[in-house]
Amino acid sequence: MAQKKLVALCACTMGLAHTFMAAQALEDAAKEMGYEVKVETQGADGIQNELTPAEIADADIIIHAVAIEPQNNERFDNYEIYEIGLQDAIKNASGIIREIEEMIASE
Amino acid sequence: MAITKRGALTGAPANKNANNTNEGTKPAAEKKPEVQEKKGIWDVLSRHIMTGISNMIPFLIMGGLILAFSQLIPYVILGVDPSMGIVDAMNSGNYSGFSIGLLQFAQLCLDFGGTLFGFAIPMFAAFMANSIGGKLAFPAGFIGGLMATTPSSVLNLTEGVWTASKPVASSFLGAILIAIAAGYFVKWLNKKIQVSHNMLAFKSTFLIPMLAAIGVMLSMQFIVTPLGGLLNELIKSALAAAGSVGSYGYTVALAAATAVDLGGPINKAAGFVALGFATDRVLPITARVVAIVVPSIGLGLATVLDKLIVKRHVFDKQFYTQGKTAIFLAFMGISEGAIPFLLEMPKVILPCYMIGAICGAISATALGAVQWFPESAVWAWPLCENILSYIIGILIGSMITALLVIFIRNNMINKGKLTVDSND
Repeated sequence: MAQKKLVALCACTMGLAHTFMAAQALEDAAKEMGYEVKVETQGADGIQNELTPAEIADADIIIHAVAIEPQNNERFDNYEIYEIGLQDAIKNASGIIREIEEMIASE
Repeated sequence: MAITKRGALTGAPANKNANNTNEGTKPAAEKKPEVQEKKGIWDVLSRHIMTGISNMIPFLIMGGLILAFSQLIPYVILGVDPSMGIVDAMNSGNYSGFSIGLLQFAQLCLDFGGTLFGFAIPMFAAFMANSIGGKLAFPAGFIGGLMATTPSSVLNLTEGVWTASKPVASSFLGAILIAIAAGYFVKWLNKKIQVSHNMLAFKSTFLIPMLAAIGVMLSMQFIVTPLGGLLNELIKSALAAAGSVGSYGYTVALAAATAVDLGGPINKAAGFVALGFATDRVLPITARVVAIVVPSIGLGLATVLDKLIVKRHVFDKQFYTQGKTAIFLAFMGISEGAIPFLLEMPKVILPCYMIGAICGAISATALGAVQWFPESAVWAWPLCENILSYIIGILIGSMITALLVIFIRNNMINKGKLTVDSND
């Protein structure tokens, strides 16, 4: 079976700390759980590691860990997004990914 | 944990997750009831407000930096009497040559920085409206925000003569109101006005811009400005009536709310309220800017002082570098550096943060520090009235946090409730 793919977008109000802490936490947790992972950050330094439409289309799970309305949000219009708080992502990234997996499985 | 699922907004559910083979996918409409789809109105609004704030902050930072030069050069470097303006200082005859050049530069910074700073509220309104209603709402929000800071004249007929006078600005409060109104108005127009494809240009280059502009103009002039101005006046007089008790209550509440989650939602909400009061010059933002830096500096100090005070390391090894990072970030006005310490032991560390922040804020305020400028980074400190009291306040708060953390952790280690991985 091909490796499952997870993409995420992180953006906090100031774009200085939470954005990158959440991105790191999600990336580590997803790798640990065997996902191929890419995390876009929209911080004070602009959009980094931008997700392409193909990557978004290919993803099994799309997570938004945001406190603001992200830029270029229309990229995600055709897909199901799981929106989480940045604090939750930082504190318990693997728990939240597992919970999303359960939500998908129970559908 | 709050997970909000947002279904595909357009297109058939079948075309989503095209290669998603390992889970059976049902249309979004058949979701389980516990999956929360609709968010509360406050959640939605606060997201838009945060987007506005997020885009306003660069203006505050840039404008603030330039304004800081305009204050530092005359009053700190050249020692001009604080009650004297820059141009008066140049005319006083006490300065010549290079000093005059510096003063000219300071005056330029004052003008330029002031203009830049003045665009913070219009930008907030523009981006907030944009977040709600898209591209066409952006200019509507912008002009609404600008009118909130510099309202249009009101015409009055007094003794047979028409005169134009400027009303009280509705300011930050007005900017929020008009951003919400403009954003949703444009969104509503976009949805309600359905035209054929070849009329689309007419709709988006003429009809909606015109209606939005007229809507903003009239609602600012006749609703938002009078209402916002009145509210601002009411708040001011209520606070004046409450006197010093009121202002200390505000100091304590603001410091506590700022320290409670270090850059999280309560902090940002408190900041939002405080920012409104400070930009309107109702209440200074001193408590908040002190409370932002106190937890981080306090913890940083704790990692430096523990060896001196209790003769042992009370943190794990990796926290000692993080402590220094936290101090550095605090001087940049960022409180998040203290988060790792908080996550390790929230129930113990959080009260230490809050007590330190409250004590620091009260000390600074009581000693006469007044900061109107919503920025806690070190370069904004000279903008504060009574900078010495300000620094003393920060030191007191930080020391209290540091000592509390050190003694509590030391006590826990002694009782065997806590073990640390250090080189002792």
